[in-house]
Amino acid sequence: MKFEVFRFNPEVDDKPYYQSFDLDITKEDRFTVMDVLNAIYTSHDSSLSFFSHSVCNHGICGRCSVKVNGKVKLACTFMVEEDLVIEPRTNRVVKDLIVR
Amino acid sequence: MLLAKQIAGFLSKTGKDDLYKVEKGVLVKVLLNKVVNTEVLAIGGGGAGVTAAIGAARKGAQVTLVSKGKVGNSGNTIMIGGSYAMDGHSAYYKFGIKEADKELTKDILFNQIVRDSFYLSEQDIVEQFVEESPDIIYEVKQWADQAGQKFIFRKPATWNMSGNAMGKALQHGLKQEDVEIIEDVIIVDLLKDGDKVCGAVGIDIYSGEIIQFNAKAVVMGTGGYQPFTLKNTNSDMTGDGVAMAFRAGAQLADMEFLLYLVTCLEPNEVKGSILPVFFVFNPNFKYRVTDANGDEIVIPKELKEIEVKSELGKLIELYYYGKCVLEGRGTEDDGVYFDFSDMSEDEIDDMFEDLIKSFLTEVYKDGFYHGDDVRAYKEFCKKHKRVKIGLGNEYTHGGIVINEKMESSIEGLYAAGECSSGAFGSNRVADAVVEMLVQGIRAGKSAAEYSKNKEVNPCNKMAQEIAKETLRYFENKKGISAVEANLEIERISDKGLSFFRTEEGLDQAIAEYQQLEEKMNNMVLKSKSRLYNYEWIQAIQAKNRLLCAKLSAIMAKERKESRGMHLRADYPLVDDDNFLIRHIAELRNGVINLSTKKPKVTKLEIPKGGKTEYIDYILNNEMGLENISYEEER
Repeated sequence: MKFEVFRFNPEVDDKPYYQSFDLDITKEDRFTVMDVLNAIYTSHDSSLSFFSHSVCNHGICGRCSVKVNGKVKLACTFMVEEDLVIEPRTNRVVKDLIVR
Repeated sequence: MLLAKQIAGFLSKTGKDDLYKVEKGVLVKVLLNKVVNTEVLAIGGGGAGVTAAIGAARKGAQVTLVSKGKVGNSGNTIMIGGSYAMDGHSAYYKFGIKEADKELTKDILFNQIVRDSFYLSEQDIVEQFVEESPDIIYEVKQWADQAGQKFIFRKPATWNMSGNAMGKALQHGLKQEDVEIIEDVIIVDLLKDGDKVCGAVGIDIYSGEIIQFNAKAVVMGTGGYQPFTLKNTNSDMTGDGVAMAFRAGAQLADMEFLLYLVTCLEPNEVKGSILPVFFVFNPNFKYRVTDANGDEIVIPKELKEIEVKSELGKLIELYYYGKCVLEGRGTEDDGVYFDFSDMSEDEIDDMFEDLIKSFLTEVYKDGFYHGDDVRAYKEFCKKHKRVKIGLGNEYTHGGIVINEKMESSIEGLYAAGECSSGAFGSNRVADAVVEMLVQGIRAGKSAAEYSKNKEVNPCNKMAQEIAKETLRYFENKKGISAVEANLEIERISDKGLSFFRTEEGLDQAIAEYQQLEEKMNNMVLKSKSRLYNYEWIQAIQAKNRLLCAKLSAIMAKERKESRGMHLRADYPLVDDDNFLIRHIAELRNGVINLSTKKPKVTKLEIPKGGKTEYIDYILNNEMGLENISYEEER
């Protein structure tokens, strides 16, 4: 599956851009968006910033939400079934998918 | 000087004046971006840190509470899954709760905690737990009521609640006190003025700014550590507080005792949930436990009875499922199967619906356990007729050595909750939830009393050194990444530190931890930006996680017996002749110093010696606290 991920580091980038990542997963793997982001961070690009500290991973804290295909969802509970565009929840971007 | 002024002006215009400054005409990097002055610094946003802040504020101290996440919405507190309990006698007579079982007295609770600890509890700490817990339990229940959170009473004197509700209750209690709150800041190390702790240095995770905290006393409420691949805790559980206390010279104990709970291995989206714990306790839940081949893992009837009704279920599951995995009969990810193949689809439906309706909907939205969809899990079980269950490390008994006032072995440092040690010896019964609250409030009070009339010198030089070391990661050119370091910690721990340990396995784990430690002196970061650089935060956490795992393996090697949550394949007997002792580790001149200590006896004499089969020990020592009733009647 293919994931278009919003990237922006205000310290070096003039404007945001989207980076594409291909992951070798299918619907049957039952990945959540958090699993996808972790897989990108672990195996492709460890400079990606997404909510990673104090993660409950079971839909409790509500802090990991991102826009998935335009709709705000909790990354840790939203099930991945197709290619996705992943963006920050609001436009107050600190870096990549992290907002204040 | 003109040039310096120009540079200063330029920096100010570009917004970089917080990173560089002009000193004596030379441009220097600013290492510390901010200074916070306080009297009592409480570290940790869960129940221990919050109650410590409240306890200290009530004693009139100026208090700052700093948390890696959001206060009341981070750490293992929100993972409570969960209940907390006091003795029924206090509930009935002191708080007028007529449904409580008044026969369950403080003495019974005390004796049960000590016996279930395999007599390694520090009895003065257990006394503090039993004596002081009813008040704080009742007060937190009132905060929950005021905040509109559901805490549902069950016999003997227990409240069923979600971690989310506990977090909200704590936030409500904290709101009523004058406490400065600083969130999303990870503390990196403690500051010391001679032998006294005098603050800490932390990083704002979002901005990357480095903050110096000057304090007269510090309370750790930072939780435990979890070194394995399978995770059922919050991702914060990296032993930060335990590791930094150790580096500051504090004694640690009981690090070999890691608590395991039945944990989902599949389907992927609920991996790490401790939902199966409810299968064990729910009287209507039927399943057979099998190995990877489908052969049943037989637990003798007398133990099965203990498993379903008392907190010793954890030990029994660890022993029997662990043994299956040890013998190579487990799944490829060290699990077993809960098998429903004897049941019809309707029966499986009824069973899950009963669990949802009779218990889970009390505190979670219909069909859910936390944010996990129990009905989707049920459908998975119906389709496959069996589901993989692992043993996940949920709690650490070991940590900072404290006394009944929550003082650590070094001046100015206090510890409460999971990062401390001593209450539960080798096997925790009763509640970690109560431990964090009752120790937190006491630690806060003790720290505030100590702080009165204390003068502390700001440790600026040490703060500079810590900041410099923290920023060194950005300059490293070659080395392993934090991701690689964590995967390696997990690989070594899964292999050598997991359930059923051996001398050979532990020797290898210790050697591998040491090799990794050297490699981790030079961890590299892909992004050189300080803005929400999780790789940087993870590098700092990985060092703490590794230190805790290494000390755990070292103590596990020393303990050549099986006791509580420490099982040795090569030393299967409980050895009271030689091991009714706690292992203590302390850093002296940069070298790990090991010693032993007998637990303090205040009321319950420790039985005289002998070597006993592990299972016989459980059956013959009046063990098994019955802390919550899952029956229909309330």
